[in-house]
Amino acid sequence: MNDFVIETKQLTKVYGEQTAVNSVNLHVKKGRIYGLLGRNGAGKTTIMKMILGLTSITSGEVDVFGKNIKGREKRVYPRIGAIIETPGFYPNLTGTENLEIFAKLRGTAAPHAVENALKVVGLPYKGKKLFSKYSLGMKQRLGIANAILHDPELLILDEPTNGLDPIGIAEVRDFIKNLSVERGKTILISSHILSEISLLADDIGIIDHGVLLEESSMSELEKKNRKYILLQVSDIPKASLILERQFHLKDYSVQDDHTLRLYDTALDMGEINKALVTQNITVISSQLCNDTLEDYFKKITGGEGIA
Amino acid sequence: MLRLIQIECLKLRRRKFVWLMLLSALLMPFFALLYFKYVKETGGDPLQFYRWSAFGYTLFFILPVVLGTLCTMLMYEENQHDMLKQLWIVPISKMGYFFSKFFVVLIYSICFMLITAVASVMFSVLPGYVAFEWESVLYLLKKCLEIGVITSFAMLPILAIAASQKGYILPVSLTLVYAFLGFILMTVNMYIHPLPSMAVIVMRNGDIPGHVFAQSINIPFAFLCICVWGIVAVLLANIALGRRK
Repeated sequence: MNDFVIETKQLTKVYGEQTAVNSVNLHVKKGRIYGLLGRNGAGKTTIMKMILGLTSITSGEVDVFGKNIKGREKRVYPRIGAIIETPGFYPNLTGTENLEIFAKLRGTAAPHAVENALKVVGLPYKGKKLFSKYSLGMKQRLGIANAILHDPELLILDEPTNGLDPIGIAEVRDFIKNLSVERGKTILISSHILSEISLLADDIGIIDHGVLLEESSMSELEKKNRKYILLQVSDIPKASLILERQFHLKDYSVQDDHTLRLYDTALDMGEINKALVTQNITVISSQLCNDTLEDYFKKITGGEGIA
Repeated sequence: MLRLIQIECLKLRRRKFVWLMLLSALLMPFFALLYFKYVKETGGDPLQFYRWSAFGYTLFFILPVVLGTLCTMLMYEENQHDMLKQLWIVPISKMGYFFSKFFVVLIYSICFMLITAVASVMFSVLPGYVAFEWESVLYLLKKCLEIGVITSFAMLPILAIAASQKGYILPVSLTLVYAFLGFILMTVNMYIHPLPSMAVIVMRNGDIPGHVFAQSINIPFAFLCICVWGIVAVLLANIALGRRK
């Protein structure tokens, strides 16, 4: 028995001739925050929809709480709270009235469930403002309140900070972190904002064009982002020769006509500079660098960065 | 199911148009009042008054159009505001959802016809156009209840179409076509459209004056017609709601 709350096996979704999700193997561990990172249209929402039974699975399997999900699994879904895309509510009702409806639908027994959920997201209980008058941020907060209303074990949050202001984003981030750390909730969160995921997630899955390119813990990923010395010189072939012969350096890469990356950061840069200058090579600059997650994302997706 | 129906009623809060539509239940009793005031003599047959106030246009046009509009309103917001996925996650069964809407339509339909019945009695007895008789009042109430219940079943196809559409234009337009078609088919074949079939069941004894049927009355056929359309509607709704995620 594994300790995965969500496990997908070769999960695939095809719309007509377009493959939205391609053989994704996702592993969300109990009590951890799993960040699904990818650009818009990468397939994050489709994966979440398949997990929640909101769209059919073309091929592959989804296990949630160890149970194979084949259709709409009624025993499993009450244990999940979710926001998928923009949360919709009844516009003619207030936030409290909307949540009371969902509490009734779920048969939520806790007497102050609605009040507590609204308090957590910073919305007023028994407020008179109708949902149709809510700002985007308030709508998003109400969506989160609805997701946590019944105190679920698993939260599936599709871009929950969409539309929130910077302070709101920080509040939601802290709140999500607390849910995981203090209450042991398992959280699957998607975002196209790298910084959000890097600040929140314990584990990360990078998805691009429906393919899960990388799945690892945040700490492992940070280890992978290597430190290096960025060396800019006037003559790359000559400098390479000196580095290989004099310093027995093999772990380096040529970036462009004037730039080298030396991955052995223990090297004595003073000695290297001296050796290069002696051989009439101009050293334009040398500095110790560290790849950011964004660089890493660019590298593995083979494309542009992410916000 | 009772919980779902209660929740459906809660959703109607602040939807003034739903309640304003109930005022249309007074329309035909009011026209009957005018008709009797200016055309007919007083002390007449109560059935003549009720024929105008409850068994005429209310039965064939007003109630079906009002119910069709209600069906559209009940489905519109959840479809328009992309709420179904939130409901499916709860989870709510598709058919539980559909039938909870239907029961709201049924309750509304009964209330509508009860208002029509009460207004018919008031508008006929208070001005003295007909004498108050328990027998005729009870007859009116019975027929109004029958109309209320059966018409809601006859409107199942419109509810199913409203469930399958994101907008409201098509269901509302189809409601009008559906009601008019029912009226036209009444003179051609009463057992191929649920509304004429409903009229056949309500007027089965031939005791409502002024209504002449084109065919012989066949109650099983009338029920069969409503059942077939109802079953097709439920199947359509099941498929449509399955796709609306």
